[in-house]
Amino acid sequence: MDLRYVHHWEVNSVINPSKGNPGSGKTILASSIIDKLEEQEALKRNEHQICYFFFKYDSPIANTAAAAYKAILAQILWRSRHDKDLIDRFVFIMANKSEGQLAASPAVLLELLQLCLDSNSTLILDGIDEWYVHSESTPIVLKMKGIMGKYALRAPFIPFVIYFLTPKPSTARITTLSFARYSRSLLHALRAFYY
Amino acid sequence: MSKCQAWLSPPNFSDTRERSAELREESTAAWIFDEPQYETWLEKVSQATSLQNQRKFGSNTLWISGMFIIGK
Repeated sequence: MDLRYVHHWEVNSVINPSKGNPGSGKTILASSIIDKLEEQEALKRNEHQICYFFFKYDSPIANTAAAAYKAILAQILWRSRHDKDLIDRFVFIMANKSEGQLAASPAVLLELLQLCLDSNSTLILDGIDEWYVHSESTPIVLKMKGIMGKYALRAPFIPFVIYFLTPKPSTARITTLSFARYSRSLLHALRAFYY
Repeated sequence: MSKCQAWLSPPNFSDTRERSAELREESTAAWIFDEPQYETWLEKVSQATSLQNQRKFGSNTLWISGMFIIGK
């Protein structure tokens, strides 16, 4: 399938999950890409930052957008632990936006992401259709607005992102054909939303 | 720094990656690095500065979808 702006291709070959770990094929693929990107000399030269998150449909703490924001920010914070400017941004947002709340709220997390991500960032998000299975019933296209839409509207750059889409367990019996239809409709919806 | 980490309280995010690395057999996922779409995308990533004004959700996004449902 060729969408005008979105590079997308369908991988209908089944990756054999090694050593019998059920359903790990796409996760192994995602982790391979992360490893490979971290080894790229061209990216190292630009001080490119690679951030990732694996959504897990069966984990209440790892299937929300806020969990992804937190994990990405934690990676940025750790890598930039000697960067006084970035630490100052965190402290400023913490002090001024958290309203005394002990844990960061999704809106504040998004604001921080906008401050910390730029075109030298790559986000790798595995299993984006796993993130709302339990707790959130909002269609995924609207949830996308949370993680990407605000960048598109307000941030000077948007980061590079890879998404992995896989059928949910409840739809695991769908055929290759119906999955193709599923991904096509999702991508069309996203495209309509962003252009 | 530790106050910032406590405030963020991120979920454990590296365990899945580590587990995948342990399970992965050499060259399991090597095919993807030869895909022309991947190569094109990587080239764009490497020249990120040339895209500084790109605000849209565009060709700097690489989508991968597929039927990875063995065992599920």
